[in-house]
Amino acid sequence: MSFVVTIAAIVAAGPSEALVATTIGTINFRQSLRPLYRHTFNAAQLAITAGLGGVAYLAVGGPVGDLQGLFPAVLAPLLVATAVNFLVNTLLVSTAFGLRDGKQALRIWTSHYAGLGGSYLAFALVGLLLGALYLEIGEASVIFLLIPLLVARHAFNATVTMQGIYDDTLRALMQAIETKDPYTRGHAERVSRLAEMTARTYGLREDQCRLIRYAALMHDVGKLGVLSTILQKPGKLTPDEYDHMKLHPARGVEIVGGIDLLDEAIVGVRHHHERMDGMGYPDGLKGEQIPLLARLITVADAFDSMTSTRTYRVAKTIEEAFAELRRCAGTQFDPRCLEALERAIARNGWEPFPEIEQHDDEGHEHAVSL
Amino acid sequence: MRFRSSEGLTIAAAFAVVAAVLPFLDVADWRTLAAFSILVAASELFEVTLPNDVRYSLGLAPALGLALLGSIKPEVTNPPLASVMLAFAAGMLLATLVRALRGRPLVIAESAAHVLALAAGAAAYNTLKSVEDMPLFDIEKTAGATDISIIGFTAMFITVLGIETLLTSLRRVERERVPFVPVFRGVLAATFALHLSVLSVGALLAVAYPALDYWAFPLYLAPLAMTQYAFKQFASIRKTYLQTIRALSKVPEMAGYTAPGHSTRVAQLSVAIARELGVPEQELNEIEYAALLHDIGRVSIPEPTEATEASSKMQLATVGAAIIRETGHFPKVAEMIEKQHHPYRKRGEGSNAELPPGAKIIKVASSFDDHTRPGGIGLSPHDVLDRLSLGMAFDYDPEVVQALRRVLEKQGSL
Repeated sequence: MSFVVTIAAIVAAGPSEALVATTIGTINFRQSLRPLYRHTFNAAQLAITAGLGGVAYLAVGGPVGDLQGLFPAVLAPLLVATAVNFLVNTLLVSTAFGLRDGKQALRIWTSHYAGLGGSYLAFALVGLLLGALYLEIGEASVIFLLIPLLVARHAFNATVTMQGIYDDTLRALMQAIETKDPYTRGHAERVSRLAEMTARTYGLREDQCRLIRYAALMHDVGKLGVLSTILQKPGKLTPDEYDHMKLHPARGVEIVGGIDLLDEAIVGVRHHHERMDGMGYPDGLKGEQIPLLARLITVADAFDSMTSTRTYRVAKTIEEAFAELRRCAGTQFDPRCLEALERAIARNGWEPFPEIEQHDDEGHEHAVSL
Repeated sequence: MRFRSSEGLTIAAAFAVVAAVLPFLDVADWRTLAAFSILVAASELFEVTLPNDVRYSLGLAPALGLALLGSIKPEVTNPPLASVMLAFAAGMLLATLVRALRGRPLVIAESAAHVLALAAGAAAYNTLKSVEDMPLFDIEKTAGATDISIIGFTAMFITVLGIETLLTSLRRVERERVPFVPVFRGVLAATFALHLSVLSVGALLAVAYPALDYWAFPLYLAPLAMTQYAFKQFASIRKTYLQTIRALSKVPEMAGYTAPGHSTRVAQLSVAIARELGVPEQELNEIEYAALLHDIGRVSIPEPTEATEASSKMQLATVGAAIIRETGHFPKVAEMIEKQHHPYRKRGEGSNAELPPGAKIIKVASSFDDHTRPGGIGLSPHDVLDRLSLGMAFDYDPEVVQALRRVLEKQGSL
């Protein structure tokens, strides 16, 4: 939002004024002063951004403080200033995050900020409007523009809040749904985190990573329709029992199919048991036919399965699990997804599901321990 | 195309107003009028859908701006109300045409409402703008401020807000046969900020146009687009949330813990009963969530069995509430689920004032569905109402049962 002020100041008064205005605007009395480096960084990077943007604007001959000659002379310089501002700002922030979290700046930029160019342009136009109005009527211009901007920001904040609520709700509900089988408790959450980690390492955009987070969280929701006796059977399943199991991806799609947001991610639910060699279910898709989201969930799912204790076998260590997965790369798993998973775990670490002690399972689980 | 009476009246009124002002038309400055017409049409393309399906479009902004122009810079242009109305009507017609071509809903009644709101708003402004010059009011104008009368502006806002809200509420009341006052308050709350934005942007345009000429048009669209985008995002995430809750509410069914469609039907019925009881719009969502998830506690049972014992029912309700509390949000939803089996009154006591209405409503709605659904006990609605009436001493709140009766009558089930 400070960008609006920056552009307005550049147009109305010039780059030095813009720099001052922007920097002063970063002072936020409501936030605590710790950590100090964050505020310093913010002020500094915005100052650099505003300054460079202003300089670029002047360099291509942008009019300053001149209402009569504003149009159309301002358009091209505005575009240039916006582009400079956008790139400098987002690259500086990406670099900062990269240094702090140990990730590549360019990767952060591509996944988080690259898509924001359009909004910057919209903000630039608003800034231009503000600047022009300021030249025309002075300070009162701010009031008129303030209201729609505040309203928009309020709606935007509400959206972000709602997003958080959504995540929390989904996680809690899925956790509750899983409690039927104590051995799979937390499985959905773990697969979700693994899949998202892997997707990010693979290089997917931020919104795609969010989709995979949700799809992976709900990938086994269809298992609720499978009898417990089959789910927890210690030995191998009979062909009939196996056929019954194979229905669960499709049933999962039935449940979550009504969520528009997840339209693209539904395929992750439906196809998470396909195999690269075409011998999977339900549709027997082969190789690249299997949607990428599904292939990512498959490796995450398999990895967590192997590293958790089940009724029918003991957990493997991470190394053992990867060895096993690598053996099946190409036939069952996508090698590139597998590699992304390995790199993600190498970079971020992973705590496998702790061993559960055997306790008597006489159905005394009716009180959900939360 | 059929119109309900409130819609028909609105459209007729709009035509009447336009016809009434037509004799005063002055199209000397037709270029400006035409330009604003096109701007109205372009702004109409920015559609916003608010909660509870209130549809809104932003074409009023340039029209209001045009109405204000004569006040600010009469030397640039000073269109009489008639010309403003004509420009707006022309723009709306163009927008309707575009909608027809795109296959989108034509929203003719809504457009007519805008016409009326514009007429009233502009009239209010014109009437009250000179109030500030009266000795009674001595409002200091800030240096360099425009000549937009603050009192006039406020009057315009209140008028536009009032008429739009009134007509929107009437439309809904007629379409869904729900009580008027809660709907009115709900629409007011939902559209207040948006109307404020529209008016501000209109004023912005009125100030920018004399200074920037036609360049003001594309520029003004930027804040408009931002407002629309922000609201769209919010509407989108709320829709996703509801869809997700709906989806997950099917899980107990799929696992065989509850009857197919039970949660959905209970939710629909609960919302209808709540509306009938005058529950505010904002609380309806929570009741819907609670109704959709009221049986979620059952997933904690190892095997699907019909939990019919009272104590196990209460326990499952507690489990369900705990699950909702685990989200960290929606404490009221959790409370409704927890108390869904509570009697509304205990022997020797008065009605339990601490029992949330949502809990009482869900109790009635769930019981109704259990008795009437196919494959269940299979009673007719009449018989179920009788049964519920028998339980009105302690179990079922009589007000809720009456509301259910009214809902069923409106639905034609009785």
